[in-house]
This record gives sequence, structure tokens and C-alpha cells, in this order.
Amino acid sequence: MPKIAIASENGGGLDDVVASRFARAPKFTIIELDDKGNIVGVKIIDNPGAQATGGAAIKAIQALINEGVDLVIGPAFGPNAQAVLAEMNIRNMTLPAGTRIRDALEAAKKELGLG
Amino acid sequence: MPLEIAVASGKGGVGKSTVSSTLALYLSKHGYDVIAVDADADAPNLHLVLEVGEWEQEERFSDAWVSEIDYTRCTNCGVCAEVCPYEAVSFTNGRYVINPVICEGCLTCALACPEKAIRRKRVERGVIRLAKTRYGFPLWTAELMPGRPNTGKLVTEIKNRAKAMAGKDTVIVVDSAAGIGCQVISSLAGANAAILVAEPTPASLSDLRRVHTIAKQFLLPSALVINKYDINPGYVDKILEYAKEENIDVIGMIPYDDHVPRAAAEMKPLVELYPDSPAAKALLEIARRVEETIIRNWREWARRHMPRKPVHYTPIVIKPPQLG
Repeated sequence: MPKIAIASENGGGLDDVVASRFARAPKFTIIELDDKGNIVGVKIIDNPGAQATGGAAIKAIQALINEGVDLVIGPAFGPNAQAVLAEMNIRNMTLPAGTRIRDALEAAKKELGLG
Repeated sequence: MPLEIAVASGKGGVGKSTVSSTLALYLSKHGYDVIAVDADADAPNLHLVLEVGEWEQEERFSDAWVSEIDYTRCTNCGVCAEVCPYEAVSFTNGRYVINPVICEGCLTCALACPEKAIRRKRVERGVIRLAKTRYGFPLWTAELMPGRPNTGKLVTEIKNRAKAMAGKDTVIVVDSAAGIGCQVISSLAGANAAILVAEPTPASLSDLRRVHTIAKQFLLPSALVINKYDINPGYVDKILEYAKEENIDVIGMIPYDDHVPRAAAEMKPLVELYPDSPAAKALLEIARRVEETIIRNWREWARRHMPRKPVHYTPIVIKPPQLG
């Protein structure tokens, strides 16, 4: 069952919006879907990258890998983020900052060919 | 959401602070709610140009670490000095001393110390400051202590402070540091537009390409200002050619003008002190264009100058040796 992580601007969750930056976003909203695209679970995690003095993207993506995420969504991915996403072969997509998480989820479902 | 404009150049000394201070002044005079952010904590100087008398708020930023020896446990074995990758430990006056300026807080010594006599303590990295400029708008700035590296976290911190006091129509002008390091990445991350500044020299073009690569990775539409265009006119075409290839909006060229260093020496904005000088006129025209084409029509402008695709970054990967 696919898991989607969305960089979230405020406290995270389905009512939040996509953050203005990925690696130093305060929270990630992680949404687990079933094979039909229905929400099975929503989890909010602190982004360790937000507190990193350097290499923020590396710490952020490590945390997402630990969560077993299949698709990562952010407003854009910086140099470190792109390097790690490519190296680890993690699927990712960009959506403008301020996009509602619910709308981002619909876009993610399309990307994954669900629903 | 407020509009955030980051001014960057890669190369130092090409006019970032002059462009950003003029832009902030112009927008403030034209009725915009403006917040200026000096994101160069190594060498902050926007407060000098914008005439800051005193700080409204001053706060220590303590997120760095150094190691410290507990001499009640230390047996002078010297293991710390042997293992320190930064050579921060020296034998002085009969005992081992960690130089806190060189120490990076990596804790190698603490792990190696057989007596467990080394602990880590938090130290100040620098100061975050808020001021009201003489021109009425606020300025956020940070200053690092010598030897403490700048970080994207610090830049993010002051950008977040600016955002917290911004309204939905506020324009935040971020004056980034030179280079393409962590702090510059953080200056560009989350911005809505990049204004790049270059001179017609090979060094400046080379650094422009590097900083623009980061802007592209963040999907930032970019504008370009060519400063001192007349010092090396033959090379201007090379810069323009790059801008055209990369779909960067060229918003103006500034002539060499010795009113610029004179205004800097007087510690006043050029456009206030010598508003009729050739450079001031060019700068004001640039600010007017930013207001008209970028700020008032951001969506349209961003669509037109959006990088086609983020450039693929080829990572340098260091892999551990394969086992078995």
C-alpha cells in the first residue's frame, strides 16, 4: 500500500498546505492509501531537517525513508534533495507552495495511477 | 502569502546590497509594506546602507557545539589531541586545551577519551537582530561570531521571523550572501523570484551560472541586473547570451559610477544621496521594473520566466566498501 509524504507548512495534516520549501519544512504529512486510493492512515512527523545546521535535505529524506515512503511531494527540491532522491530512486513530484494537502493528495493519486 | 524576492549573484562585491537596498527603499516609498532581510551573516552590511541607529530586538543564537575538557577527570593522556580531525587540541602550560574557535563539536575526542573527561557544551553562533531602518521599514539581520560557520538554519530562522510579521501583500527582500553554500541555498529556497546581479567579467559569469543552477533547482524564475556594464562592454553580450539561453529576464544595466563608493563611504543609500547620478537613475528604473513586471504581475511573469525543468544534479556519492 503506497505511502505519500507531503512537506507541510504549519502543523501538518489533511487541512494544512504544501510548505514553501521541502528540506526545512516544519512537518511532513504521511498518508497511507489502499490499492483503490482510499486513505488508510494519516501520520504527522517532525522534520529533522528543519533543525539541521547543514544537509537539511539529507536528514529530511532519511526520516522519510525510515517511514517507508513511496512518493515525496514538495514545492521544489534543492541540490541535496535532488541528489538523494535520485540516488535512492525515490519517486517525487512538485506542487506549488500553498496547495491544500487534500488537493495534493488527489494529484498524488493520479501520479500513482490510483482512484 | 507575502512575495519573497531573493537577490543573489554568486560572486561577491557585484552590487547585491546596492540593488536590494534600492529595491526595498523604492517599494517602501511607493506604498508597499516591505521587510528587508540581510541573509549574509558572515558579513552583514545592509544595516549600514539603510541607516540603522539602534537595534529594536537582539537575541543570541546558540545552536553550535564545542567540546570541553573536565580537568577533574583528565589524566593528560593526549588521546584527544591525537584523534581530533581539526587539530583543535594543543598541549599548553602542562595540559591539553581545546581551542573553541577551531573545535567543530564533532565529539571524536569525547568518544576516544578513555577517562570520559570530555563533554559537549552549547555555544553561541551569533546574534539575530531586528531594527527599524531610517526609512520606516523593518530589517532582519544576523551576525556570526568569528569561526562559527553560517548555516541555512540561521537564514531560515530570520526569513521565518520576517514572514511571521508579514501581511499577505508584504514584499520581503532577501539580500543573500555571496557563493552557493548552505546559506545561499536557504536564501533562495521558498522565494518567489530571484534577482541575479552580474558584472561583465568571466568570474562573474562563471559564478552567475553556478548560483542560477540553484535557482533553477528551486524552480525559481530569475531576473538579471548587469552592473558596471560599461567597464567591459565587449563581455556584456556573453552575459546577455546566457540570459537568453536560460530565459532569464534582463531588467536593467547599471553604468560604472563613482557616486556609488562615495555614497557607501557616507553610509547613505545612493538613491537618497545622489538621486540624479547615472547609477542611481539606472537603479531606480530597475526597481520600477521589478514593481511593475514582477510584483504586480507575478503570476504572468513567473509563468514566462519559469525554468523549463530543474537541472539534474549529479551527486558525488561516497559509498562504503562492499562487504563479503
